[in-house]
Amino acid sequence: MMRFLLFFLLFSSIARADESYMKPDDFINKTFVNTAPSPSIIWLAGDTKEKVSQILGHPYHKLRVKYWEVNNRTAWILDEIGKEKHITTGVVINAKGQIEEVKVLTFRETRGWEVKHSFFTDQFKQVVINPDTTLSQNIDGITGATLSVHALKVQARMALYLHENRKPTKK
Amino acid sequence: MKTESRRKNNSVLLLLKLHKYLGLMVFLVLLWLAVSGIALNHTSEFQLSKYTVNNATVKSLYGIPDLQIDRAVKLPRAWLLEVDQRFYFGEKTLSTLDYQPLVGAIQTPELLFVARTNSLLIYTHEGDFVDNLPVSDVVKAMDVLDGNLVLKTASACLSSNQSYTEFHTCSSQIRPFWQGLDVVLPNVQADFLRKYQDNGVSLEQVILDAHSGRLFGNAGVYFMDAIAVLIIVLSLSGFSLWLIRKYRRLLR
Repeated sequence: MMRFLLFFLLFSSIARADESYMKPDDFINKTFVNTAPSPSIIWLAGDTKEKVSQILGHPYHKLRVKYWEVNNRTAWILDEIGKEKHITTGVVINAKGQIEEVKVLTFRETRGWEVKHSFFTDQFKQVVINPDTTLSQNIDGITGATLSVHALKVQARMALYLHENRKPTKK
Repeated sequence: MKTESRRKNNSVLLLLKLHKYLGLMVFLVLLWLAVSGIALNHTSEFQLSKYTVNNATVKSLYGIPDLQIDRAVKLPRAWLLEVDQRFYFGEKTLSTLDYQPLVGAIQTPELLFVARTNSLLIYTHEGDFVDNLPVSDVVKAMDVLDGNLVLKTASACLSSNQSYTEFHTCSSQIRPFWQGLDVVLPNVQADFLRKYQDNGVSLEQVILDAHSGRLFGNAGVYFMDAIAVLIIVLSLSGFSLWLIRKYRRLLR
């Protein structure tokens, strides 16, 4: 019985590496109730690039960010490194500039996956961005998932900042 | 008396033989230990840390694999190479979120498109990561027609929009020239290894590990321990023989 339990625990921890919880397309379709718009693009350049780099603590790993918008309600899919690998997260922001939903789409680390749970992501609901780009509410951390928590927080800040300052550009 | 004397002579002969054969057994290793010991005492003067050992056998002892190009595409600017789940374009290692095997690549005047089994990655010519587009179906080949990127998947043909943000089913009118992977030429492999295979071990480290036996793992360490024991016995036998001779001279 003990051997089975140990095997199960070991297997379950190994199985958590590189887990996809929801495809980006499914996230967008769910957010806009199957009437997903075409994505818009923000090229990260100039002041925008600098501000995003300040929020993340490093340059964003892509040159452009896609987002989807209907009636001033936007959805963003962003990637940020937890400890060593990227966490892909969807963020939905309503017309008032408040976070409506934060959803971990793909988690590639072996630890810190607790951030996928709603008990953590629900903390972001109704959070807005302060003038200094910090979040308007404190987000409680999770023991053993510090870096994953940080990744989600900066992704939320980045999405809120881009939502406030979006002027879609196409190249 | 005679028996006593004969016994003593036999013991000395035995000691002599032991000393002789022990010496023969360990002299090569002793030679190595002496030479490597001198080298390790003067690593700065000999600049041992500056030199790298790239020998395949030595690297295999350290668990460092030889890099092999798994897949490649020849592009106008440079080869795009997939090596050990990483992508290289010219001098640059391309950033990716995760690994999927390379299917093809196309270089337009502005951008570099890299198709993988379930995604399309977009880069600048300098290798800066622009974006990634997931593809729900398995990608088989790609092409660029009139500025639109076209992907051949397992079940359909997909065409991107002008801003490369989404895909739609291809028009039946188009006739793509599907481009896939290329055969890697030997000079490409050699060139890549020259640029990227600087993952050898420093000469100083190799000498140190060979000196201690650790180069060959636990077996090497135990071997050196055994040699050390033999050297101890060799020293004691040599010292004993010297003592016996001195004692005999004194008696005369």
